Amino acid sequence: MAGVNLTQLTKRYTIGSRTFAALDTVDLTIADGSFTTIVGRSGCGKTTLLRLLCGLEAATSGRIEFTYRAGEEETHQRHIGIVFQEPRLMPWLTVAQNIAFSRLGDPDRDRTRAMVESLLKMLGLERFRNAYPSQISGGMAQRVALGRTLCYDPDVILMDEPFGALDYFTRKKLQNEMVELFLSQGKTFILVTHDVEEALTLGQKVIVLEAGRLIREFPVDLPYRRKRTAPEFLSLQEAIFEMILETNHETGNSEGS
Amino acid sequence: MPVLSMVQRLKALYIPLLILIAWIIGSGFGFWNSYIIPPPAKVLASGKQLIVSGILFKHAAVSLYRVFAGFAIALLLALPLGILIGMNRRWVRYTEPMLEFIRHIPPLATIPMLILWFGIDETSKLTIIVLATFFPIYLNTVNGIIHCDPKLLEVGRSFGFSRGRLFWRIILPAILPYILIGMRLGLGYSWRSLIGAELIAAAAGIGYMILDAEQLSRPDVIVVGILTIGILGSVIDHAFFRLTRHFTPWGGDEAKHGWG
Repeated sequence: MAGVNLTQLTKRYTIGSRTFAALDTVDLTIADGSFTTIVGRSGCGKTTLLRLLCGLEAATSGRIEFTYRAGEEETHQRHIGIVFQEPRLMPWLTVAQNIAFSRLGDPDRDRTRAMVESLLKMLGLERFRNAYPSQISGGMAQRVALGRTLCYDPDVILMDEPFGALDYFTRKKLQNEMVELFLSQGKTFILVTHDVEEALTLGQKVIVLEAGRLIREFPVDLPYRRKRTAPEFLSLQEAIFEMILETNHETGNSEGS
Repeated sequence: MPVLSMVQRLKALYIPLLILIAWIIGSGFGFWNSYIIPPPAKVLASGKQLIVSGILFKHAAVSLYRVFAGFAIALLLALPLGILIGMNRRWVRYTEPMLEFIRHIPPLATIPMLILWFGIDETSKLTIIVLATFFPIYLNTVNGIIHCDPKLLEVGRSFGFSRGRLFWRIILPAILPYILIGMRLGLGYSWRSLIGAELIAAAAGIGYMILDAEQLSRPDVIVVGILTIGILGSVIDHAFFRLTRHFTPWGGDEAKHGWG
């Protein structure tokens, strides 16, 4: 298991003669085994943060540290697994092969096989094990993508708006499944979304990002299988909404080179 | 096989049957000179005689050998080069102008030079086939790598794949449909260029059989030769289409083309 510490994390992009700070001196501590959600408007730096965390991009400055429980660090090779906005399944592989894809090269094939079987069962994909991605629905494809990341067995699971392209009902169903998964796996989950309700349904802590800066952290002290109509839920939702709307979108968004 | 599917397949025979009927009627009523278009019965008799004597098989075997040998050489050259250039795009600026220049030269235009260099034996004909087949395979391979979805590569990178694993497990399967399309096109081109080469410089093969028949004033044998080329080409293409479907069962674009 692992937690994550971000210190003064910054990522700048240069477009033409201008330099933009997609992420600006972010300090954040994510506890081991917690579920953190990150909300904000489009372009606030949510996806950049995830891409830095999983090593797809390098930070301009600052530090990312993984914190382990005593005695665990040496044995852990797989820090991070990510579920992208789109399923990104390999079209030439079946559902079962796509799930096993993340463990290619693992010499322990029996273990991989056992993990795939258990994930197929857990995600309700047993009947579709031999189907190709073109033959399954969007919701199922996203489940396969989640299965692929779980099969990788990472310490921290990152999710970049994984339900963004799904219809309302599938979205709600998968949100509930995500809660069950979090409770059963005990891993560290970090989910990025622009949907405040989704952030509150899933997260134990909601981080508000705006123009690359961490604006505020909201702890969500509500038991899981949360009622979206509960007064505490609604008041938190209202507070986050107001915070996002009040923050000037332009402030600190760019700086001249 | 379902009845509907059978009916769909039979539709492919409508136009050939109409042409055959028009041919039979036109020849029967003497609408044209039998030397210009020989009657079907005469073509059939010649075909039968060429089959029984083994002459047709001999020529067809020679042509098929040349097609497959030339195709195999082109594949061995074009595929690795296409992968090499596709994976190292900065090399494109060195190779592209020369390859583009060669691509626009019809292989048949090089026959006089090839005969001068290699004589009229197999080498000159194989070179023509290689020249005709190389570009569809090479260009499709490069194109496939250029269009390989970067999002899929990101998935591999997020799981810590090495460069080698990214190539074998993501790039190669992703470009397989492109390679197969290139191979299928190349096979068609090699067949066409071969017949051209055999018409000009050969002592055996279907092209040679047609040229020989022209000099002996045997239009019926010419028609048998043309039909043999068409049938063999179609059978090879269909076999390749089946092979393509077998190797890309997830339904790449190439599976939408060809006989069902």
